[in-house]
Amino acid sequence: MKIGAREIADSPLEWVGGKGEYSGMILSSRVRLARNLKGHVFPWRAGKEELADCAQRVRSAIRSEDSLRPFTLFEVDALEPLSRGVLIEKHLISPALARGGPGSGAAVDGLGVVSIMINEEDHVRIQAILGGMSIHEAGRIARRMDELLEKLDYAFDNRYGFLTACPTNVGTGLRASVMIHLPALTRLRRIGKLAVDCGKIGLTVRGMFGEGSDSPGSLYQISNQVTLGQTEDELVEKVSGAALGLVRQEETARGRILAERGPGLEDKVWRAWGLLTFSRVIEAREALELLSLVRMGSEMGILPEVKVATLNALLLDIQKAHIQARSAAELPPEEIGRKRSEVLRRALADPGVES
Amino acid sequence: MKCERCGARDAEIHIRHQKGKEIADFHLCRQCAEHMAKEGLIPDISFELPINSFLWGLLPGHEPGHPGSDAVPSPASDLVCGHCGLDRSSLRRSGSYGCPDCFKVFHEDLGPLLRKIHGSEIHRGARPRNACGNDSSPEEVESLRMELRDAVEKEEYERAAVLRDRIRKIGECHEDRG
Repeated sequence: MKIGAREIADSPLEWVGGKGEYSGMILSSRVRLARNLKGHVFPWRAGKEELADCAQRVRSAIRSEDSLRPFTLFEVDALEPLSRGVLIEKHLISPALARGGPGSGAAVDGLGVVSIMINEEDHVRIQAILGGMSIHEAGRIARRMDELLEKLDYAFDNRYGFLTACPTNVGTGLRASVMIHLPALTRLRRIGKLAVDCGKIGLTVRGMFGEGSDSPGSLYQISNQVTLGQTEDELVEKVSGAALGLVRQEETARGRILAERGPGLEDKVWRAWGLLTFSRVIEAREALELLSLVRMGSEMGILPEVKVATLNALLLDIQKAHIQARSAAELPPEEIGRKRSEVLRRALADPGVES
Repeated sequence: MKCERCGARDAEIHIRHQKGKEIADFHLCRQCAEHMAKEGLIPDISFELPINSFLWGLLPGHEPGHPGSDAVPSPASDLVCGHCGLDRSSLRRSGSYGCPDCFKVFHEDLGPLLRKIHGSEIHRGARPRNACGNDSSPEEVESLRMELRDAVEKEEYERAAVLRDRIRKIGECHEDRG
Protein backbone atom coordinates (compact mmCIF):
# COMPACT_ATOMS: atom_id res chain seq x y z
CA MET A 1 0.00 0.00 0.00
CA LYS A 2 1.49 3.35 -1.05
CA ILE A 3 0.91 6.10 1.50
CA GLY A 4 1.82 9.72 0.86
CA ALA A 5 3.46 12.17 3.26
CA ARG A 6 0.32 14.26 3.52
CA GLU A 7 -1.81 11.31 4.51
CA ILE A 8 0.69 10.39 7.21
CA ALA A 9 0.80 13.99 8.47
CA ASP A 10 -3.01 14.08 8.67
CA SER A 11 -3.38 10.69 10.38
CA PRO A 12 -4.43 10.91 14.04
CA LEU A 13 -2.09 10.77 17.01
CA GLU A 14 -3.96 9.97 20.19
CA TRP A 15 -1.84 11.98 22.66
CA VAL A 16 -2.38 15.22 20.75
CA GLY A 17 -6.05 15.25 21.86
CA GLY A 18 -4.86 16.18 25.35
CA LYS A 19 -6.76 13.52 27.26
CA GLY A 20 -5.28 12.11 30.43
CA GLU A 21 -4.48 13.74 33.74
CA TYR A 22 -2.25 16.83 33.92
CA SER A 23 -2.32 17.10 30.13
CA GLY A 24 -1.43 20.81 30.40
CA MET A 25 2.06 20.10 31.68
CA ILE A 26 2.46 16.44 30.80
CA LEU A 27 2.09 16.26 27.05
CA SER A 28 2.50 12.53 26.56
CA SER A 29 3.40 9.26 28.25
CA ARG A 30 5.26 6.58 26.32
CA VAL A 31 6.36 3.04 27.04
CA ARG A 32 8.54 1.05 24.68
CA LEU A 33 9.66 -2.56 24.82
CA ALA A 34 12.72 -3.92 22.99
CA ARG A 35 12.51 -7.54 21.80
CA ASN A 36 14.54 -9.85 19.56
CA LEU A 37 13.87 -13.13 17.85
CA LYS A 38 15.44 -16.25 19.27
CA GLY A 39 18.23 -17.72 17.14
CA HIS A 40 18.56 -14.64 14.94
CA VAL A 41 21.48 -12.24 14.62
CA PHE A 42 20.61 -8.72 15.84
CA PRO A 43 19.85 -6.23 13.04
CA TRP A 44 23.14 -4.27 13.20
CA ARG A 45 25.09 -7.47 12.49
CA ALA A 46 22.64 -9.34 10.31
CA GLY A 47 22.95 -9.84 6.57
CA LYS A 48 20.33 -8.91 3.99
CA GLU A 49 18.61 -12.28 3.99
CA GLU A 50 18.39 -12.59 7.72
CA LEU A 51 16.99 -9.05 8.00
CA ALA A 52 14.36 -9.84 5.39
CA ASP A 53 13.53 -13.13 7.11
CA CYS A 54 13.10 -11.51 10.53
CA ALA A 55 10.95 -8.74 9.07
CA GLN A 56 8.82 -11.35 7.31
CA ARG A 57 8.25 -13.22 10.58
CA VAL A 58 7.28 -10.08 12.46
CA ARG A 59 4.97 -8.93 9.68
CA SER A 60 3.17 -12.24 9.47
CA ALA A 61 2.84 -12.38 13.27
CA ILE A 62 1.14 -8.98 13.08
CA ARG A 63 -0.99 -10.00 10.11
CA SER A 64 -2.13 -13.25 11.73
CA GLU A 65 -3.42 -11.51 14.85
CA ASP A 66 -7.03 -10.37 14.46
CA SER A 67 -6.73 -7.41 16.78
CA LEU A 68 -3.63 -6.16 14.92
CA ARG A 69 -5.19 -6.45 11.48
CA PRO A 70 -6.22 -2.78 11.24
CA PHE A 71 -2.57 -1.74 11.68
CA THR A 72 -0.93 -0.03 8.71
CA LEU A 73 2.36 -1.66 7.76
CA PHE A 74 5.09 0.54 6.29
CA GLU A 75 8.23 -0.56 4.57
CA VAL A 76 10.75 2.22 5.14
CA ASP A 77 12.54 1.76 1.79
CA ALA A 78 9.22 2.19 -0.01
CA LEU A 79 8.59 5.57 1.62
CA GLU A 80 9.80 8.84 0.14
CA PRO A 81 12.16 10.86 2.38
CA LEU A 82 9.42 13.36 3.24
CA SER A 83 7.11 10.63 4.56
CA ARG A 84 9.94 9.32 6.71
CA GLY A 85 10.48 12.84 8.04
CA VAL A 86 6.81 13.14 9.01
CA LEU A 87 6.89 9.76 10.79
CA ILE A 88 9.98 10.87 12.74
CA GLU A 89 8.33 14.15 13.75
CA LYS A 90 5.33 12.14 14.98
CA HIS A 91 7.69 9.86 16.93
CA LEU A 92 6.19 6.84 15.19
CA ILE A 93 9.61 5.80 13.89
CA SER A 94 13.10 6.73 15.05
CA PRO A 95 15.68 8.57 12.94
CA ALA A 96 17.75 5.34 13.02
CA LEU A 97 14.93 3.30 11.51
CA ALA A 98 14.23 6.00 8.92
CA ARG A 99 17.62 5.28 7.32
CA GLY A 100 15.96 2.15 5.98
CA GLY A 101 17.59 -1.02 4.72
CA PRO A 102 16.36 -4.57 4.15
CA GLY A 103 13.26 -5.30 6.21
CA SER A 104 13.15 -1.94 8.00
CA GLY A 105 9.55 -1.17 8.66
CA ALA A 106 6.84 -0.21 11.11
CA ALA A 107 3.23 -1.03 11.92
CA VAL A 108 1.02 1.74 13.26
CA ASP A 109 -2.53 1.44 14.62
CA GLY A 110 -5.41 3.60 13.40
CA LEU A 111 -5.57 5.83 16.49
CA GLY A 112 -1.88 6.68 16.61
CA VAL A 113 -1.30 4.98 19.97
CA VAL A 114 0.85 1.98 19.08
CA SER A 115 3.80 1.71 16.75
CA ILE A 116 5.80 -1.46 16.23
CA MET A 117 9.21 -0.84 14.69
CA ILE A 118 10.82 -3.71 12.80
CA ASN A 119 14.59 -4.15 12.46
CA GLU A 120 15.58 -1.04 14.33
CA GLU A 121 18.37 -1.56 16.89
CA ASP A 122 16.43 -4.66 17.92
CA HIS A 123 14.18 -6.86 15.78
CA VAL A 124 11.01 -5.57 17.43
CA ARG A 125 10.35 -2.34 19.29
CA ILE A 126 6.83 -1.91 20.56
CA GLN A 127 5.75 1.51 21.76
CA ALA A 128 2.50 2.94 23.08
CA ILE A 129 1.98 6.72 23.49
CA LEU A 130 -0.98 8.34 25.25
CA GLY A 131 -1.76 11.91 26.32
CA GLY A 132 -1.19 13.38 29.79
CA MET A 133 -0.07 11.27 32.73
CA SER A 134 -1.11 7.88 31.34
CA ILE A 135 2.15 6.02 31.73
CA HIS A 136 0.61 3.02 33.50
CA GLU A 137 -2.02 2.63 30.79
CA ALA A 138 0.63 3.03 28.07
CA GLY A 139 2.59 0.27 29.82
CA ARG A 140 -0.45 -2.02 29.84
CA ILE A 141 -1.07 -1.45 26.13
CA ALA A 142 2.59 -2.11 25.25
CA ARG A 143 2.54 -5.33 27.32
CA ARG A 144 -0.68 -6.45 25.63
CA MET A 145 0.93 -5.99 22.20
CA ASP A 146 3.98 -7.80 23.51
CA GLU A 147 1.91 -10.80 24.55
CA LEU A 148 0.21 -10.92 21.17
CA LEU A 149 3.61 -11.07 19.47
CA GLU A 150 5.14 -13.50 21.97
CA LYS A 151 4.49 -16.36 19.57
CA LEU A 152 7.46 -15.01 17.60
CA ASP A 153 9.59 -16.77 20.20
CA TYR A 154 11.65 -14.02 21.75
CA ALA A 155 15.31 -14.22 22.72
CA PHE A 156 14.93 -14.54 26.49
CA ASP A 157 17.29 -15.69 29.20
CA ASN A 158 16.12 -16.77 32.64
CA ARG A 159 18.80 -14.77 34.33
CA TYR A 160 19.17 -11.68 32.14
CA GLY A 161 15.64 -11.39 30.82
CA PHE A 162 14.93 -10.16 27.28
CA LEU A 163 18.17 -10.01 25.30
CA THR A 164 18.90 -6.84 23.35
CA ALA A 165 21.75 -5.64 21.14
CA CYS A 166 22.76 -2.93 23.58
CA PRO A 167 23.40 -4.02 27.18
CA THR A 168 21.65 -0.85 28.41
CA ASN A 169 18.28 -2.34 27.32
CA VAL A 170 18.69 -5.90 28.60
CA GLY A 171 16.16 -7.26 31.10
CA THR A 172 12.72 -5.76 30.73
CA GLY A 173 13.72 -3.94 27.53
CA LEU A 174 11.39 -1.26 28.87
CA ARG A 175 11.84 2.47 28.54
CA ALA A 176 9.06 4.54 30.09
CA SER A 177 9.15 8.24 29.29
CA VAL A 178 7.05 11.27 29.92
CA MET A 179 7.20 14.47 27.86
CA ILE A 180 6.81 17.37 30.24
CA HIS A 181 6.60 21.16 29.85
CA LEU A 182 8.59 23.00 32.53
CA PRO A 183 8.80 26.67 31.55
CA ALA A 184 8.91 28.17 35.06
CA LEU A 185 11.57 25.77 36.31
CA THR A 186 13.57 26.50 33.15
CA ARG A 187 13.27 30.25 33.80
CA LEU A 188 14.44 29.76 37.37
CA ARG A 189 17.37 27.71 36.02
CA ARG A 190 16.47 24.69 38.06
CA ILE A 191 16.64 22.05 35.34
CA GLY A 192 20.35 21.21 35.72
CA LYS A 193 19.91 20.54 39.42
CA LEU A 194 16.70 18.55 38.87
CA ALA A 195 18.48 16.46 36.24
CA VAL A 196 21.20 15.64 38.76
CA ASP A 197 18.55 14.63 41.33
CA CYS A 198 16.77 12.47 38.77
CA GLY A 199 20.10 10.84 37.88
CA LYS A 200 20.55 9.78 41.48
CA ILE A 201 17.37 7.72 41.35
CA GLY A 202 18.12 6.18 37.95
CA LEU A 203 16.16 8.56 35.74
CA THR A 204 17.35 10.60 32.76
CA VAL A 205 16.18 14.12 31.86
CA ARG A 206 16.68 15.14 28.28
CA GLY A 207 15.60 18.12 26.17
CA MET A 208 12.92 17.16 23.64
CA PHE A 209 14.11 19.38 20.83
CA GLY A 210 17.78 19.80 20.01
CA GLU A 211 20.69 19.11 22.30
CA GLY A 212 21.45 22.52 23.82
CA SER A 213 21.66 22.88 27.59
CA ASP A 214 18.26 24.54 27.53
CA SER A 215 15.70 22.78 25.42
CA PRO A 216 13.73 25.10 23.13
CA GLY A 217 10.13 25.30 24.28
CA SER A 218 11.06 24.06 27.80
CA LEU A 219 10.02 20.53 26.84
CA TYR A 220 11.82 17.66 28.52
CA GLN A 221 11.67 13.91 28.51
CA ILE A 222 11.99 11.99 31.79
CA SER A 223 12.81 8.30 31.40
CA ASN A 224 14.26 5.33 33.26
CA GLN A 225 17.99 4.64 32.76
CA VAL A 226 17.96 1.15 34.15
CA THR A 227 16.05 -1.74 32.55
CA LEU A 228 17.28 -4.74 34.54
CA GLY A 229 16.71 -5.82 38.14
CA GLN A 230 13.36 -4.11 38.59
CA THR A 231 9.92 -5.12 37.41
CA GLU A 232 8.07 -3.28 34.65
CA ASP A 233 5.65 -1.86 37.22
CA GLU A 234 8.45 -0.58 39.42
CA LEU A 235 10.15 1.14 36.49
CA VAL A 236 6.93 2.75 35.28
CA GLU A 237 6.02 3.80 38.81
CA LYS A 238 9.38 5.49 39.27
CA VAL A 239 8.96 7.59 36.13
CA SER A 240 5.38 8.38 37.09
CA GLY A 241 6.37 9.47 40.60
CA ALA A 242 9.16 11.71 39.33
CA ALA A 243 6.91 13.28 36.67
CA LEU A 244 4.19 14.07 39.22
CA GLY A 245 6.84 15.51 41.53
CA LEU A 246 8.01 17.76 38.70
CA VAL A 247 4.43 18.89 38.05
CA ARG A 248 4.20 20.06 41.67
CA GLN A 249 7.59 21.78 41.50
CA GLU A 250 6.61 23.51 38.27
CA GLU A 251 3.37 24.71 39.89
CA THR A 252 5.33 26.17 42.80
CA ALA A 253 7.82 27.77 40.41
CA ARG A 254 4.97 29.36 38.45
CA GLY A 255 3.58 30.81 41.65
CA ARG A 256 6.99 32.20 42.44
CA ILE A 257 7.66 33.86 39.09
CA LEU A 258 4.14 35.31 39.13
CA ALA A 259 4.78 36.83 42.56
CA GLU A 260 8.26 38.08 41.68
CA ARG A 261 7.84 39.25 38.11
CA GLY A 262 4.06 39.47 37.62
CA PRO A 263 3.74 42.46 35.26
CA GLY A 264 6.88 41.46 33.35
CA LEU A 265 5.60 37.92 32.91
CA GLU A 266 2.19 39.11 31.78
CA ASP A 267 3.83 41.35 29.20
CA LYS A 268 6.04 38.51 27.94
CA VAL A 269 3.08 36.14 27.53
CA TRP A 270 0.99 38.70 25.65
CA ARG A 271 3.95 39.60 23.42
CA ALA A 272 4.34 35.91 22.64
CA TRP A 273 0.68 35.80 21.70
CA GLY A 274 1.13 38.91 19.55
CA LEU A 275 4.09 37.47 17.68
CA LEU A 276 2.42 34.13 17.08
CA THR A 277 -0.76 35.71 15.75
CA PHE A 278 0.75 38.55 13.72
CA SER A 279 4.16 37.52 12.43
CA ARG A 280 4.58 36.76 8.74
CA VAL A 281 7.76 34.66 8.89
CA ILE A 282 8.84 32.56 11.87
CA GLU A 283 11.55 30.00 12.60
CA ALA A 284 10.75 26.74 14.41
CA ARG A 285 12.86 27.52 17.45
CA GLU A 286 11.23 30.90 18.01
CA ALA A 287 7.77 29.41 17.50
CA LEU A 288 8.50 26.72 20.10
CA GLU A 289 9.61 29.33 22.64
CA LEU A 290 6.54 31.47 22.02
CA LEU A 291 4.16 28.50 22.14
CA SER A 292 5.72 27.57 25.47
CA LEU A 293 4.92 31.03 26.87
CA VAL A 294 1.39 30.90 25.49
CA ARG A 295 0.83 27.43 26.94
CA MET A 296 1.98 28.59 30.36
CA GLY A 297 0.06 31.87 30.07
CA SER A 298 -3.12 30.03 29.17
CA GLU A 299 -2.76 27.63 32.12
CA MET A 300 -1.98 30.47 34.55
CA GLY A 301 -5.00 32.50 33.46
CA ILE A 302 -2.87 35.30 31.99
CA LEU A 303 -4.38 34.59 28.58
CA PRO A 304 -7.89 33.29 27.95
CA GLU A 305 -7.70 29.53 27.65
CA VAL A 306 -6.15 28.07 24.53
CA LYS A 307 -7.11 24.40 24.10
CA VAL A 308 -4.41 21.89 24.99
CA ALA A 309 -5.24 19.94 21.83
CA THR A 310 -4.61 23.06 19.69
CA LEU A 311 -1.23 23.66 21.33
CA ASN A 312 -0.25 19.99 21.08
CA ALA A 313 -1.16 19.82 17.40
CA LEU A 314 0.91 22.94 16.70
CA LEU A 315 4.04 21.30 18.11
CA LEU A 316 3.81 18.90 15.17
CA ASP A 317 2.26 21.16 12.54
CA ILE A 318 5.03 23.78 12.76
CA GLN A 319 7.77 21.23 12.06
CA LYS A 320 9.48 21.19 8.70
CA ALA A 321 8.33 17.86 7.28
CA HIS A 322 4.71 18.48 8.35
CA ILE A 323 4.70 21.88 6.62
CA GLN A 324 6.34 20.46 3.52
CA ALA A 325 3.96 17.47 3.42
CA ARG A 326 0.93 19.75 3.39
CA SER A 327 2.18 21.95 0.54
CA ALA A 328 1.34 21.22 -3.04
CA ALA A 329 4.88 21.89 -4.30
CA GLU A 330 8.26 21.63 -2.62
CA LEU A 331 8.93 24.79 -0.64
CA PRO A 332 12.27 26.62 -0.65
CA PRO A 333 13.65 27.16 2.92
CA GLU A 334 12.53 30.79 3.21
CA GLU A 335 8.97 29.81 2.25
CA ILE A 336 8.78 27.33 5.15
CA GLY A 337 9.07 30.14 7.71
CA ARG A 338 6.26 31.98 5.95
CA LYS A 339 4.05 28.89 5.84
CA ARG A 340 4.78 28.22 9.50
CA SER A 341 3.47 31.66 10.46
CA GLU A 342 0.32 30.96 8.46
CA VAL A 343 -0.20 27.64 10.25
CA LEU A 344 0.13 29.40 13.61
CA ARG A 345 -2.18 32.28 12.70
CA ARG A 346 -4.84 29.95 11.39
CA ALA A 347 -4.76 27.61 14.41
CA LEU A 348 -4.70 30.40 16.99
CA ALA A 349 -7.33 32.56 15.28
CA ASP A 350 -9.93 29.96 16.19
CA PRO A 351 -9.77 29.91 19.99
CA GLY A 352 -10.40 33.67 19.70
CA VAL A 353 -8.62 35.38 22.57
CA GLU A 354 -10.32 38.67 23.43
CA SER A 355 -8.32 41.30 25.23
CA MET B 1 34.89 13.94 46.66
CA LYS B 2 32.22 11.61 45.32
CA CYS B 3 30.32 12.23 42.09
CA GLU B 4 27.13 14.12 42.93
CA ARG B 5 25.12 12.26 40.34
CA CYS B 6 25.88 8.61 41.07
CA GLY B 7 27.36 9.09 44.53
CA ALA B 8 29.52 6.02 43.93
CA ARG B 9 32.58 6.95 41.89
CA ASP B 10 35.06 9.72 42.61
CA ALA B 11 34.31 13.09 41.06
CA GLU B 12 36.97 13.68 38.44
CA ILE B 13 35.36 16.46 36.47
CA HIS B 14 34.48 19.81 37.97
CA ILE B 15 32.42 22.19 35.91
CA ARG B 16 31.38 25.72 36.74
CA HIS B 17 28.55 26.73 34.48
CA GLN B 18 27.79 30.43 34.47
CA LYS B 19 24.69 31.74 32.83
CA GLY B 20 23.97 35.40 33.49
CA LYS B 21 24.32 35.80 37.22
CA GLU B 22 23.55 32.19 38.07
CA ILE B 23 26.49 29.92 38.71
CA ALA B 24 25.99 26.18 38.88
CA ASP B 25 28.78 23.87 40.02
CA PHE B 26 28.89 20.24 38.97
CA HIS B 27 31.22 17.66 40.46
CA LEU B 28 30.93 14.53 38.43
CA CYS B 29 32.67 11.32 37.60
CA ARG B 30 33.75 10.90 34.00
CA GLN B 31 30.87 8.56 33.21
CA CYS B 32 28.11 10.78 34.59
CA ALA B 33 29.69 13.87 33.01
CA GLU B 34 29.66 12.20 29.65
CA HIS B 35 26.05 11.12 30.16
CA MET B 36 24.97 14.64 31.01
CA ALA B 37 26.92 16.23 28.17
CA LYS B 38 25.30 13.81 25.76
CA GLU B 39 21.91 14.81 27.08
CA GLY B 40 22.76 18.47 26.69
CA LEU B 41 22.50 19.23 30.40
CA ILE B 42 26.06 20.45 30.76
CA PRO B 43 28.27 21.97 28.07
CA ASP B 44 29.58 19.39 25.68
CA ILE B 45 33.26 18.90 26.38
CA SER B 46 34.96 16.14 24.51
CA PHE B 47 35.37 13.14 26.76
CA GLU B 48 37.22 11.31 24.02
CA LEU B 49 35.59 7.92 24.31
CA PRO B 50 32.17 6.91 23.05
CA ILE B 51 29.96 5.92 25.94
CA ASN B 52 29.66 2.26 25.10
CA SER B 53 33.34 1.57 24.77
CA PHE B 54 33.77 3.70 27.84
CA LEU B 55 31.57 1.33 29.84
CA TRP B 56 33.64 -1.57 28.64
CA GLY B 57 36.78 0.27 29.68
CA LEU B 58 35.62 0.03 33.27
CA LEU B 59 35.98 -3.71 33.26
CA PRO B 60 39.18 -5.34 34.47
CA GLY B 61 41.60 -6.52 31.80
CA HIS B 62 40.83 -3.62 29.52
CA GLU B 63 43.40 -0.97 30.14
CA PRO B 64 45.08 -0.13 26.87
CA GLY B 65 48.59 1.13 27.43
CA HIS B 66 48.53 0.28 31.09
CA PRO B 67 51.90 -1.11 32.09
CA GLY B 68 51.75 -4.84 32.44
CA SER B 69 48.39 -5.21 30.74
CA ASP B 70 49.97 -6.91 27.73
CA ALA B 71 52.22 -9.08 29.79
CA VAL B 72 49.60 -11.70 30.66
CA PRO B 73 47.22 -12.06 27.74
CA SER B 74 43.82 -13.13 28.97
CA PRO B 75 42.84 -16.50 27.55
CA ALA B 76 39.37 -15.08 26.91
CA SER B 77 40.61 -12.26 24.69
CA ASP B 78 40.29 -14.23 21.47
CA LEU B 79 36.75 -15.42 22.11
CA VAL B 80 34.52 -15.42 19.04
CA CYS B 81 30.77 -16.03 18.94
CA GLY B 82 30.17 -19.13 16.86
CA HIS B 83 26.79 -17.92 15.64
CA CYS B 84 27.35 -14.33 14.54
CA GLY B 85 31.16 -14.20 14.41
CA LEU B 86 31.47 -11.27 16.81
CA ASP B 87 34.84 -11.25 18.56
CA ARG B 88 35.62 -9.76 21.90
CA SER B 89 37.46 -6.70 20.63
CA SER B 90 34.61 -5.77 18.23
CA LEU B 91 32.19 -6.24 21.09
CA ARG B 92 34.17 -3.87 23.24
CA ARG B 93 34.54 -1.38 20.40
CA SER B 94 30.89 -1.35 19.36
CA GLY B 95 29.40 -1.93 22.81
CA SER B 96 26.70 -4.07 21.20
CA TYR B 97 26.08 -7.80 21.18
CA GLY B 98 25.64 -9.48 17.83
CA CYS B 99 23.08 -12.16 18.65
CA PRO B 100 21.46 -13.98 21.59
CA ASP B 101 24.32 -16.52 21.68
CA CYS B 102 26.84 -13.74 22.43
CA PHE B 103 25.36 -13.52 25.92
CA LYS B 104 26.61 -17.06 26.59
CA VAL B 105 29.93 -16.74 24.77
CA PHE B 106 30.91 -13.50 26.51
CA HIS B 107 29.22 -14.32 29.81
CA GLU B 108 32.37 -13.66 31.79
CA ASP B 109 32.19 -9.90 31.23
CA LEU B 110 28.42 -9.74 31.21
CA GLY B 111 27.63 -9.89 34.92
CA PRO B 112 30.05 -7.11 35.92
CA LEU B 113 28.98 -5.01 32.94
CA LEU B 114 25.27 -5.31 33.72
CA ARG B 115 25.91 -4.48 37.34
CA LYS B 116 27.78 -1.35 36.29
CA ILE B 117 24.94 -0.28 34.06
CA HIS B 118 21.88 -1.46 35.98
CA GLY B 119 23.14 -2.14 39.48
CA SER B 120 21.83 -5.66 39.04
CA GLU B 121 22.32 -8.64 36.77
CA ILE B 122 19.11 -10.50 37.43
CA HIS B 123 15.87 -9.99 35.58
CA ARG B 124 12.82 -9.65 37.79
CA GLY B 125 10.29 -8.52 35.23
CA ALA B 126 7.88 -10.20 32.85
CA ARG B 127 8.68 -13.53 31.22
CA PRO B 128 7.30 -14.95 28.00
CA ARG B 129 4.74 -17.66 28.78
CA ASN B 130 6.83 -20.27 26.99
CA ALA B 131 10.07 -19.23 28.72
CA CYS B 132 9.43 -21.10 31.95
CA GLY B 133 12.75 -22.65 32.91
CA ASN B 134 13.78 -22.99 29.28
CA ASP B 135 17.47 -22.43 29.76
CA SER B 136 17.83 -23.29 33.41
CA SER B 137 20.32 -26.09 33.48
CA PRO B 138 21.19 -27.61 36.86
CA GLU B 139 24.53 -25.74 36.61
CA GLU B 140 22.69 -22.48 36.30
CA VAL B 141 20.59 -23.14 39.37
CA GLU B 142 23.76 -24.09 41.19
CA SER B 143 25.48 -20.88 40.10
CA LEU B 144 22.46 -18.91 41.32
CA ARG B 145 22.72 -20.70 44.68
CA MET B 146 26.40 -19.84 44.92
CA GLU B 147 25.64 -16.27 44.13
CA LEU B 148 22.92 -16.24 46.77
CA ARG B 149 25.40 -17.44 49.35
CA ASP B 150 27.83 -14.73 48.25
CA ALA B 151 25.13 -12.05 48.48
CA VAL B 152 24.13 -13.14 51.98
CA GLU B 153 27.76 -13.17 53.10
CA LYS B 154 28.25 -9.67 51.77
CA GLU B 155 24.97 -8.63 53.42
CA GLU B 156 23.56 -7.54 50.04
CA TYR B 157 20.06 -8.54 51.03
CA GLU B 158 18.22 -6.91 48.19
CA ARG B 159 20.25 -8.89 45.68
CA ALA B 160 19.83 -12.00 47.81
CA ALA B 161 16.05 -11.67 47.77
CA VAL B 162 16.02 -11.44 43.98
CA LEU B 163 18.20 -14.53 43.71
CA ARG B 164 16.04 -16.46 46.15
CA ASP B 165 12.88 -15.62 44.18
CA ARG B 166 14.56 -16.64 40.94
CA ILE B 167 15.67 -20.02 42.32
CA ARG B 168 12.19 -20.60 43.72
CA LYS B 169 10.60 -19.72 40.38
CA ILE B 170 12.82 -22.13 38.44
CA GLY B 171 11.92 -24.83 40.96
CA GLU B 172 8.20 -24.20 40.49
CA CYS B 173 8.61 -24.32 36.72
CA HIS B 174 10.21 -27.74 36.87
CA GLU B 175 7.49 -29.03 39.18
CA ASP B 176 4.81 -27.75 36.80
CA ARG B 177 6.44 -29.57 33.95
CA GLY B 178 7.14 -32.76 35.82
